[in-house]
This record gives sequence, structure tokens and C-alpha cells, in this order.
Amino acid sequence: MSDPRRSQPPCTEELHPSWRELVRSRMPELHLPPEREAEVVEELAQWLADASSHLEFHRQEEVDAFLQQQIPTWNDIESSLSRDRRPPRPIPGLENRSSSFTAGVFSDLRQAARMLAQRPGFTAIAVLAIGLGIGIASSVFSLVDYVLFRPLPVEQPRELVNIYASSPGGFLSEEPMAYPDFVDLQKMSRTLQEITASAMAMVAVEQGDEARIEIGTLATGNFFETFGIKAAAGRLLMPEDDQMGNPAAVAVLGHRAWKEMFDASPEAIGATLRVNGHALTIIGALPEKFTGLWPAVEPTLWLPMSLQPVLGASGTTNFGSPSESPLESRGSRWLWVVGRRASEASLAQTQDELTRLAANLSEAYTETNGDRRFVALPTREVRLIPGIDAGLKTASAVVMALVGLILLIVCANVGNMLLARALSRRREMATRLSLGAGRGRILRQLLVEGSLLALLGAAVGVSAAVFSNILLNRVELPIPIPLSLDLAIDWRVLLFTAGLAGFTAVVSSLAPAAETLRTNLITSLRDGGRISGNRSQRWQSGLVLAQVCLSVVLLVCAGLSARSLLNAQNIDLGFEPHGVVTASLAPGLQGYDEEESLAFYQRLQDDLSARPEVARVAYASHLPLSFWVNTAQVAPERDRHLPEEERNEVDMASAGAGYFEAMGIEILRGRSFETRDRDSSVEVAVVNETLARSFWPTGDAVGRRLVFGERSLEVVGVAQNGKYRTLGEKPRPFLYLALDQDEVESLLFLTVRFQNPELASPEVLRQTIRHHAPHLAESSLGTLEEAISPAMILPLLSGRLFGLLGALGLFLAAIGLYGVLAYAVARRTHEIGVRRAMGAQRHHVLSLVMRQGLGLTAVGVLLGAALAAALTRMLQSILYGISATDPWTFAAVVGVLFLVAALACCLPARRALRIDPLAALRHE
Amino acid sequence: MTNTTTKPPTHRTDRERKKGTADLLVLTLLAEQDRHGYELAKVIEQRSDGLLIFHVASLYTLLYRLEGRGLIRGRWVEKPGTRRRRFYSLTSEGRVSVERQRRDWRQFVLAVDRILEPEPA
Repeated sequence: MSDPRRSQPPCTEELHPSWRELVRSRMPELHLPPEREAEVVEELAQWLADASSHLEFHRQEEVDAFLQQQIPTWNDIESSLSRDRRPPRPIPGLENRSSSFTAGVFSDLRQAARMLAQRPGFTAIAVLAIGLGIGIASSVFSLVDYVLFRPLPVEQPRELVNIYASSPGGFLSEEPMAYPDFVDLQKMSRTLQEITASAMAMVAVEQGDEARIEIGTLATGNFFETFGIKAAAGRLLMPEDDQMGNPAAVAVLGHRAWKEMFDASPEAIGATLRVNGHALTIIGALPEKFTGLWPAVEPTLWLPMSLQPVLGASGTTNFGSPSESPLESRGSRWLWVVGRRASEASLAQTQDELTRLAANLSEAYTETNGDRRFVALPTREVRLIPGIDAGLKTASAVVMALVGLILLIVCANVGNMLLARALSRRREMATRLSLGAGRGRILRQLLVEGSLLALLGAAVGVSAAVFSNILLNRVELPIPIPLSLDLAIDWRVLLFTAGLAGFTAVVSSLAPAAETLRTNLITSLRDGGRISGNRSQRWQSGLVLAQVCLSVVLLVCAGLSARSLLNAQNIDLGFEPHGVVTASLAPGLQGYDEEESLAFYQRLQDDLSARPEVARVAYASHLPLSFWVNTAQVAPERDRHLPEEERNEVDMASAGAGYFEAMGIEILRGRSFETRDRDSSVEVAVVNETLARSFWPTGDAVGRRLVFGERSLEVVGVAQNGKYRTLGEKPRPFLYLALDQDEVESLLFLTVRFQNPELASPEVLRQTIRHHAPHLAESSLGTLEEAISPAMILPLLSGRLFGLLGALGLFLAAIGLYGVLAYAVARRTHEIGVRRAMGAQRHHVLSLVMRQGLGLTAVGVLLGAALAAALTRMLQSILYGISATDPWTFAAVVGVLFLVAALACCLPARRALRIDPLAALRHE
Repeated sequence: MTNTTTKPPTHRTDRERKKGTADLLVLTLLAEQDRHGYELAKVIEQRSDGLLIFHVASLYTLLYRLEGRGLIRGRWVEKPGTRRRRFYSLTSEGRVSVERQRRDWRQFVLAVDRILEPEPA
């Protein structure tokens, strides 16, 4: 070795590198972090340079001797640096087993993060897929949660029970209650400390020059006290406000109304509103969290029950005879009753007491309460009405099941990606195992990787759900009642999402984990990570099967729903809504007496009829598909002797002259109503085909008579069948009475058909109504298509939802299936090379690969179709005009999946075939 | 120290003489001002008139040990015209320690002196 200083430039203080190299070459491994080690080398080298500055070395031995003198031993330096020493590099999977579990998980997390960061493409796709699945699931869950599960924001909800009246043969098994029954319950119950009743009612609200029909709720004075609701401003209704016969003229504003009408100003308290023509003082406003007892419907006004006779408002729900005074009749069932159990009373005790009280009442009032029972159900188990909840729950279950399917497909996709990676990491895993890492330890590592992916996905998913909820909250449904959705990502949704993420993590890690656990050390190390075993193929085949199977189920559901929507839109309604504008008018609510009302109706009809753009103007008591149902007990003349309850119950409406023409309902035989069908003339009726056929199976119905109560009506016409309550209903009998021969209805629907359907405009009606009655509130002013849209909501919404889920499912299923199959084929590149090298023809190899891939798909499709056929029966109740096992839908789904599968097999196989056989052989 | 017999006797004496006092010497010098390793060795050599000589291994062993115990701290300083060097300074702990060691040392020397001085008759 030469003198290290020789080559050192004399005029610089820079240390010549030779001393460093010398130190480095003599220094033993110090196990220091690299930067610390460099520091030590630098210091020692500097010293040596300084200490030798006055020396001259001529021979290597002299340098060695100098070094020996300066550093006789490295031991001391080594030991003095013990604190700086880095821990020995761990062999992954071989860490000290006694190290704490959490530390292990953290190190796994770090390693997993590094692993994911190294493959950004893989990570991005996996996270997006999981995010999409979890996002949809969270969003749909928050909707279901809102509709089904979110508890009422009231005090001690567990103590609350809903109390229903129930009669055999009723429209619903649980119906609202009559006011006198409610009062008796209130007086006599011992197990209920408070009982309160409420009913929604449409009221005309005037503010300034404007009058609108709004949703109000009539509530008993103890309503808010029972629920423990506190006012956001002013005070709420109290028992003193609700004295029968002496009601206080007061109203409480719903929170939204308070904000919209008064900007949430405290000055609203004490202001006056005209409701149904009566001046009411606003005494308070509700807090934001309480929007009423029904999800998504927020009443504008809360009014004392005792104001009912003054306002003339009757409940929107009324089972029984609406003509009697609702506060006095036991036949008029319209109140929704909620009680708070006394703390010592059990639900069973309450039910026993109610049964006893109902028996007492039915003895006392045989005529009305003969077979009436009372039913108590815990309030938190009811959302709308028990009878309707069941349908709601079914629909929710179906949607959640579909969402679950999508998530499972996502899991299969991600699982497959992880499996592919686990297979390519076989050698790494085998090495770690052979170095002594426990399988549990490696399992944990895989699970942590899966969890990290799922966690990232969940973050993406929750963001997507927040976004989609904002969109959903803004959706305006085409229905007359303003629905206010208030979807939020609350702790329940987050908990659900966390559960989903955990599920995704575990399920998508299953395949790779099982694969790793069964790793055979020797073959894995020997094969060097190339995969040829049957086992891994079994896993992949399993994933393909699962994927195809789930995709079939999902796509069949989506396909059925989409076709059901198309059917619903093309369903024959029995009338022609296009080109008709309607409005509901209730002049009686605003103080018109009967004579004034009739005069107003006549003026309006005359004026509108005179307009050139109007073809026909008519009135009716009910419109089809508007959820207003009126029924009557009728019988053909020959069964006149039958008591009322044994006659047929049929839906009915009163219609004025020109109604059938305005609605576009075809009269098949006889005539429609005319202006001559007045009070004085013979009482007439029009029946629909179904009623005609059931009453007079042989011969013509025209000219026959039927009995309705004491009245005998002559059938003058037979109208075509239509849809009256729901789109999905079977043909039902329907009776039309002549409007002019019936009592004056408090609310009438005006129907106006325009000459040119494209020019049908609500504005013409609005102006004309304004002209004749400037302060009259008209509601549901709009096209008939809008008015009947509530009936379209279920098919419309389910169609859109399923369409969306279906499109997403198809996308995920297609890329998933493609990914799984294409990967499986790509992995056979080596095998394809062998076959080619052995002289196999291209088309032979191709057909072999295709046969195997499509065979697998066929098995999956069969399994999926069987599963789908079993599951879609659940959908039948919400499908229109299509069977749950519609062969065309199944065929289309199968076709699409086979197409995807064929592409997925063909493209990678062709790529493999293009490769030179020798290169393919080298392919690992 | 079982294998010290292979080492030259002078070396062994040096070692032992320095052993108890080296910490104190280095800490005391660093209490005066920050110094780099070679400077420390030179100062010790000069002030002891060549009696106490450190070679690189012994001095840096000492410095790294003191640094490890948190009594001193090294940092790289670059001054114009000179090469980048690692200067050592006392930490607050080191300051406390050097005071204590000095006191102990004086007491020790005093005690030894008393024994060495012949008692007045």
C-alpha cells in the first residue's frame, strides 16, 4: 500500500479518500446504520491523516505499523458503539415470537403498505373495486336504514306501543282507530300512562296572497308530551289547547315549514296563518330532528285535534264511513294511536288489557265494534303500517341481497387478484416458512394485506356513499306529497361499512391464505414459484364458478327488473293520461257553501270548455291510481235481499258528464254519463267489464239494475277495464255513479283534455281558477301523468335501482370473469409452449383452452341459473307483466356471460400461441 | 483482563493510569470549549508534557462511550478553509457529571496526599 498522503493535494483541507478506504477495509462489521458507520469511518480517517501528517511512509509495513499503533484492537471501539448499533435485520416471518402482537401487526401493516405501494396499478384497481362495492352497499344501506331502522327521535322509545284497531275482513289487518274508541281507551287503560292520537290531513294554508294545500297533522293535546319533544321556538301543543268544543285557534309549525316560511325566525311565534279559511296563531316550531311519525313525510302544521270540526279537515286515511262526524262516529276509523306503557307494565299485560277493553266496547256498541279488537305493537318495530312494512322489508331485503351479491363479486375479483399474487409469491412464502416462520404468522400477514386493501376501499366507498346520498337527498320524486329524505352516514352506516370491510378483507384473503397454508415447501422451492399444480387450478376454478354463479343471479334480477319497468311503462291503464291536466278543488274547505261550490264548478267548466285548445272538461270524485280509494257494497238487482255485508265490495267513483271522454276511457256498450243524468232523472250507473261479467255472466249488462244501499241504479254503459289501485292488480270490478245524482263531494278532481296533447298546460287551469276564485287553494295541479306517477314509483324506482345495480354488476362481473379466466389461461403459457413444441396445432390448443374455460363457465351458469330461479321468486311481487323465471331474460344473461367468457379465454390464448414455443417454455 | 500478559507492560500501565482519569480529562477539556477528537488528544499530550498520549482507538472508544451515555454530543462543523470535523461538546448532563467527578477527584487526591505525606512527629 502506498502512502495515503502522497496523492493528497497539498493546499486543500479535503481529506483524501485513501484513509477512508483504509479504515473501511480494516474495520470489522460494526452493525451500525449506514450513516453512522460513515461518520465513524470519517472521524477515524481524519485522525489518522492528522496523526500521520509529520510522518513519511515508504513501505506498506510502515503504514501497517502506524495503524497497529493507533488501533491495536477494534474491540473497544466496537463495544463503545453498542448503543448506536441497529438491530439485526429481521428475516420476515422469523421475528421473535415473544414480541408483542400489536408490534407484529404494525410491522405487517408497514410491510403490506410497502407491498401495495410497489404495485400501484394492482392496488388502485383493487381499492376502486372494493370502494365501488362498499360505496353502493353503504349508500343503499343508509337508505334502508332510513326507511326501516332509524329509531324515532323520542324519549324512551322502548316504552312506546302503537295501538291499532283490527277487524276480520278489514282492508288491512291493522287499521287506524275511531276517536270515541280512543277516548275510551284513554279513560280506562291502566297499563298505559299516556295515550295520544294523530292523523294527517290536507289543509289549505294561506300566506299573503298565496294559498297552498299542505300536509297538516291533527294531534291530541298530550301528543308532544307523550313523545318528550321540546319546541325549537315558542311552545308546543298542550292539553289546554285541545278542549273539545272549545279549541284554541293555534298551530305549531314543522321545522322545515318554519325555515321555509319564516326563515326560522322567532318572530314567526305569534304570527297568524289562515288555515282552511280560519285564522290560527302560531305558538311554536318543532325541532329539526322530529319530523313526525312517518319517515320522509314532514307535516307543515300541527293542529289541535279539537280543531277538526272547525277546519272541516279529515284525515288522509279513513277506513269506514267518512260521511259521519269523525270525532263522534265509532265507524270512522282514522286515528293513529300511540301509547306509552307505564314502567311496570309489560307488553303482554298491555295487550291483555286492550283485548279486555275491546271486548267491553264490542258489547256496548255491537253495531260498530262487534268484532273489533285492539292490537299493540312496539312502536320501534313499525315504520309505516304493519301491513305495508312487510312489503317494504321484502323490497329492502331484495335490494340488500343484490348489493350483497355485488359485494361478493367484488370479493371474488379481489380474491382472485390476491390469489394470483399469492401464487407468484409462493417462493417467498416457502422461503419464509422454511426459515421457521409460523403459518399463522404468514396468514396474519395476508390478512393484514387484505384488511389494508379493504380499509382503503372502505374509505373510497364511504366517500362515494356520502356523494350518492347528497344526490339521493336532492332527488325529487314525481308525487304530490313532498317527501323529504334525510339520508346521512351515521354511526350505524359506518358500523355496517366497517363490517363490510372486515368481511371483504376476510373473504378476499381466503383463497390466497388457504393456498399459502397448504404450500408444499419442497415443490414450491424447487419449482421456483412457477405454478403447475392442480390445487391452485382448483382454487381458480372455484373462483370462476363463484363469479359466474353470482353474476348470473345478479344479472337475472337486474334484467327482470329492467324489463318489468318497460312493461310497467307500456301497461294498458284503461285510460289515456297523455294530454290531460287535473287539479283537485275543495272550495268547501275555504268556506264555500254547497250552492256556491256548485256555481263555481259550473262557471269553471263553462269557461274552460269555451277555450279553443280544450277538448273536454269533466269532474270526478276520484282519479284512478291516485291512492284515493272509495268502496261500495253492491249487488245485482236479483240479490237485492242480501244484507249489506254479503254484497260485493267494489271500488267506485262518481263521475260527471264527459268524464269518460276526458279520461279517454272507452265505452264498450251503451253510453257514458251525460248532462241529462241529473237528480231528477232515473238513477244511472256505468260499470266496467269485470263488474258486468261478474254480475251478469250471460247477456248484456246495459239496461240491468244493481242495488247500492237502498238505491237502485240502472246500468247505462259498460266501460273498458282499467288499473285503479296499482299497476300490478288483476282486473277488478269498478262502479261509476253519476256525479250530479250523488251528494256534493267536499273535494273534486277537475280533468281537462286538451285538443293537442303536447300543448296540455296546467297554467291554463291555474289562470282560470284564479280568475273565478282568487283565493282558492288548488292542489295537485298538474298533468294526469304526474298525478298517477305515485303508482309508477315502485316500478320506476326499482327499475332505476335495479338497472343501475345491474349495469354495475355486469361491469364488475365482466371484468372479474375476464380477469379470472384470462389469468388462468395466461398461466398456461408454459403448457401451451410444451404442447406447441410437441407439435400440437394452433387450433387444437385454442379449442382445448376454450373448451375448458367455457366448460367451467357452463357449470357456473347452470348453478347460477338454478340459484337465480330459486331467488327471483322473491321478486315476483314487484315485477310487472313478467314471470320471475322469464326464459328470455335468463337466455340473454347466459349469452352475455358466455360472450365475456369466450373473449376471456380466446384473447390470452391467442397471445400465448403467438409466442415462439421456446419463449413460452421459458415463461414462468 | 486475562490476556493482557501478551501486551507490553508499559501499555498496560498506561491503560490503567489513564483508565480512571481519562473520562475526567476529556470532560474537563470539553467544559472549556468544543473540540474535535484529534485536538483533544493533542491538548492532553501538550498539557501533560507528553506523559499522557492517546491513540485513536482509545480516544474514540472513550468519546463514543461518553456520547452513548449522553454526557457529550458530537456534531459536524464546517469552517471555511478547514475540513469538516466532528466537534464534541458537553451536554447538560455532562456538565453535572464533570463537576461531580472533579470534586471526587480532589477529595481522592487529598486523601492520597494525606497518606503519602509523612506525619509530623
